[in-house]
Amino acid sequence: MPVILVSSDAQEFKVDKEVAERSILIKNMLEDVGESDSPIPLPNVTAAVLTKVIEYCEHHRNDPVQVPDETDDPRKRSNDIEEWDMKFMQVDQEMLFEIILAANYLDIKPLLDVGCKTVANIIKGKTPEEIRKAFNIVNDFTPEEEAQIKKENEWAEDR
Amino acid sequence: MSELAAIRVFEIPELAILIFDRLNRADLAACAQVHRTWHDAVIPFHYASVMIGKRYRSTPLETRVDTASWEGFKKHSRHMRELEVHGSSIHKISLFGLHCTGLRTLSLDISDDTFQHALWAGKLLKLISNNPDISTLRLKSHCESAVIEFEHHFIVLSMLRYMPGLKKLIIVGSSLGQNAVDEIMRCAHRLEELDVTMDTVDRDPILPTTGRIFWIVTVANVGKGVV
Repeated sequence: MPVILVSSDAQEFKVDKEVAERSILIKNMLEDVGESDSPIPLPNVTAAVLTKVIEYCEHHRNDPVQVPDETDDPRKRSNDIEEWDMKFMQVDQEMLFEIILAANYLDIKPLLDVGCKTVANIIKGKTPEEIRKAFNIVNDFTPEEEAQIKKENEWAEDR
Repeated sequence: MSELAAIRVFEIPELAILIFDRLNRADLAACAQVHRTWHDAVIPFHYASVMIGKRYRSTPLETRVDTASWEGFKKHSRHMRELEVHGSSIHKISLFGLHCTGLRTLSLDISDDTFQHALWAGKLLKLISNNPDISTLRLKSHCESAVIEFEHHFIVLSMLRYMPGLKKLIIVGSSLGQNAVDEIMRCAHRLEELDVTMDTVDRDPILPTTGRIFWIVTVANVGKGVV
């Protein structure tokens, strides 16, 4: 039975229950409500973002439940992303962070992981200015403040 | 929702940590300079676990802090939960000030002579006595088959008297002499666990005479025995 999801901008999306249930939030909602065909409102997700999220869930509809990727040292954890996910994440930077926010709200752990890995991979090895440029962030520090923060954290740059 | 998603993500600590967890120290330092929101998100993470000095058999992943500005440590020491100090850097320990209010785990390399000097100079004792909530102390030694004896390490062991919150003592690379065990039991009243990891089996592990604590002896590459 399909489920109807409603984005914050009032667009309706008809998706298979199996696909919608990749979201733990929606899965729990459906369990609470029982059999019902009333649409599920998602006030925190726009249609543009929801389209992407559904695309991801469609592709991963048959994935087994994710085994937590735990190693002793989180910094040694693999940042590898499988090919389809990598292509899927080739979106503009605003959409990338919107997907992370939506994955967090909808509780879709594998999508959240892929999003955070993608952001981490973009940040790696960049200077603060390069990071700002990559994400269209406006510097809100005064030059003095920026110099002070750089000085405070110099110990970490010495490798 | 006019604010950038790239900022809103870092307003949610659980999300920020998922990203920071995958970065190295230098990347974290760069993130701190990007934007105020990023700065406030990264600083507690960046300072939560700090290692200074060169580690014996160092790994490429570690942070070395030899020559640098120490201002960050002075300013952000309240975020520190774990501090690990190696070799000659130990004399810099006073830089961590008196207010590492969150510090719970302290790791020290005791095989270097400078460690004894630092203790004598009172810097380490000051750090310890100002942070009574330290609950785990890890003492590392990289001398082959070293034995901690009361006579030679009495300063190290007397340090335990100033650690009222100590629950877990981990000794890596040394075994313990019986009189050292007795001294530990005398000094650390609230100790619940004593882990000893030895490089070699050159002597039988000494077991404490009281049944008060949980005792773990591990011989490297051989396995773990719990008594």
